[in-house]
Amino acid sequence: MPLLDVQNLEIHYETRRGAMRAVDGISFSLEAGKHLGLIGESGCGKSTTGRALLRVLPRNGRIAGGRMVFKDRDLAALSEEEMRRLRWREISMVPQSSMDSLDPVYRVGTQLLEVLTARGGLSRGEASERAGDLFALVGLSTDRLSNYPHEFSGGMRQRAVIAMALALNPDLVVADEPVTALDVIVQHQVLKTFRHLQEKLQLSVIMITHDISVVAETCDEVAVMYAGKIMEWTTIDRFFHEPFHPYSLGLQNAFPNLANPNQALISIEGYPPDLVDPPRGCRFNTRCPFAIERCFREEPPLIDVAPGHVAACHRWQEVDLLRTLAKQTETWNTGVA
Amino acid sequence: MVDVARGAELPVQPATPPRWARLTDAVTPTVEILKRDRFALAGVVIYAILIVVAILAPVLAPHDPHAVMEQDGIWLTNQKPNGDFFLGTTNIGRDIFSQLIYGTRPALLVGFSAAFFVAFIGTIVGLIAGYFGGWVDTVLMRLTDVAFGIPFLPFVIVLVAFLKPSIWNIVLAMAMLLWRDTARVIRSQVLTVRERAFVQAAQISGAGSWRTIFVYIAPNIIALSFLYGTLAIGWAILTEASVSFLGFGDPTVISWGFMLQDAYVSQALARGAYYWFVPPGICIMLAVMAGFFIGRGYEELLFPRLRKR
Repeated sequence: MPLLDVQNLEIHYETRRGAMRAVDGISFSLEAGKHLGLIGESGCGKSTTGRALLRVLPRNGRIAGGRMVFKDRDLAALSEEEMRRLRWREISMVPQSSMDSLDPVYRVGTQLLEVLTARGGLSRGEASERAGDLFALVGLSTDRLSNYPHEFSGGMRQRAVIAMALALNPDLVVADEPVTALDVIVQHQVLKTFRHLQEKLQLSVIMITHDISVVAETCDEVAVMYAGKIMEWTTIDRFFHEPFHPYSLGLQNAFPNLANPNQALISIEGYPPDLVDPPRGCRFNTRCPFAIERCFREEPPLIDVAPGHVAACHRWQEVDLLRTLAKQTETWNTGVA
Repeated sequence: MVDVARGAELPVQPATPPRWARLTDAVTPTVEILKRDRFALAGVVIYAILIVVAILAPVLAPHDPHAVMEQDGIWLTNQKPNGDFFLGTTNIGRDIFSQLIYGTRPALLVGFSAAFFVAFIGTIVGLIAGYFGGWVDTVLMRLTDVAFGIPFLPFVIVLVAFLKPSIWNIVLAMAMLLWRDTARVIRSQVLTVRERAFVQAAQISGAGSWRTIFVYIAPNIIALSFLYGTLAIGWAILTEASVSFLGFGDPTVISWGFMLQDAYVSQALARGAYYWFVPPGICIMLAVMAGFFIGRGYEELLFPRLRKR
């Protein structure tokens, strides 16, 4: 029984032009203690999925269908009151911008204590002790509790926000681009913190990012999203060594490879499709160099391509050919059928 | 072994902040500004002097400002400045220097109380309009537009005429109209603060509207309220003086504006009695200027880009 089981989740944003299907029937699950990376480019629905898990969508967003079963309860069906009791205590979030997440006029410790006393029901004494423990856990000196947010560096602020997310011992943390604004060294430190927490607290994390190196460093599994759909979902090893979906192949080309530093980066031409009026067939067909006639006609379902590995591509059986072609720059510039 | 990375995080403050730490945190930048900004320092010094003078007025004033000075049954009217009357006497024999001393009292009373109400009402209106938005915002902001549409001095005169001439009615008039600038500025600031993640996190975690407004948003904008408050002090003193000069002031209270009006109607200028009307004029000017100097220094604290290197 997984900790979280998402089935056919659909999220719509009401826009002037009609419903935008930001997330269009995605399914995935997460075992306790595992880290799942949700990756994809901007606007593919990864943050929307993360926010939907806490039911904190923007005003014009709504969950239009599907189930999000978390510890035997469907998060999509809970009342707002039940949801509020669950937030922070069972599922918490590390938001995108740590700069904005801390109130500049209160000491960091004060803000942490407030969470522990107001939401966690601890006494002031217990709370200060716990605040110290939390700071130690994320690698911050407890003396820093009396500082204001502006006295923290970006990485320290991000750690403080992680400490706040962990304050009430949640089972699941949704981390939305937790290291995007940080330089790589600090990124590494923060990601190490996440790893450490996984080992120490058996914490489950959904790591939302557009950076596959972040996923490589912290996650056990990865789900690749594109235009509101999951394109591929597998373990981290298989994703890097045996990817099936052309979009995954393209993503890996677009990042520098340490083993072969002189290899040119190849970008995927074009833009994601309009989600108010998505294309027929496969969502990736407008940019996929391998798209065949069938890809424009019918949408590929998620197929079990190997044990513990699903991908949504009609041409998955030809994957060896696709992998070879995908290494060549011309493939992505001109396109071959 | 010395760990360099951790060395950078050595404690700079005690683990548990002392109770007064927050207070010193608030005071320190103010002191810094005063050290650097001579104008703000001058403003503070002027107000400090005015406050001391106002409190000690009965001690400092050599005579009763209302009393008619006489000597051997003769009224000492239109005396030139001399050892006994430092600034001479009025046309009915009142001591001008004592009037000037007592004049600090209504000036400061009006200044500070009007400034308080202006900042207070404006802040509350701005917070509520900005936070709730929708029809609440529309109603409050149209009300602000109305307040902007009413000409200030005529409004004060009409209000004072309807009620009775009293410095408190001048304060009332200011409180009723001048919250408009503060309200607009605070509202626009609230609009940005309320969208920030920590405010949304508080709401999502179940903080009620009022807690969100006063605990999470208000501390982020309170500095602007202070700024508008300090600027309002000068305005209030000037307004009281204008109203008194026009003859709508409280006739029982001797204020600087009243002194000017008294001098004006008794044709002091024609008699060349500069010692009568120049000192209250300078006092008004100093008080108003001091308010603006402090406001300017405060602005620099809020918008560091204004700082000159």
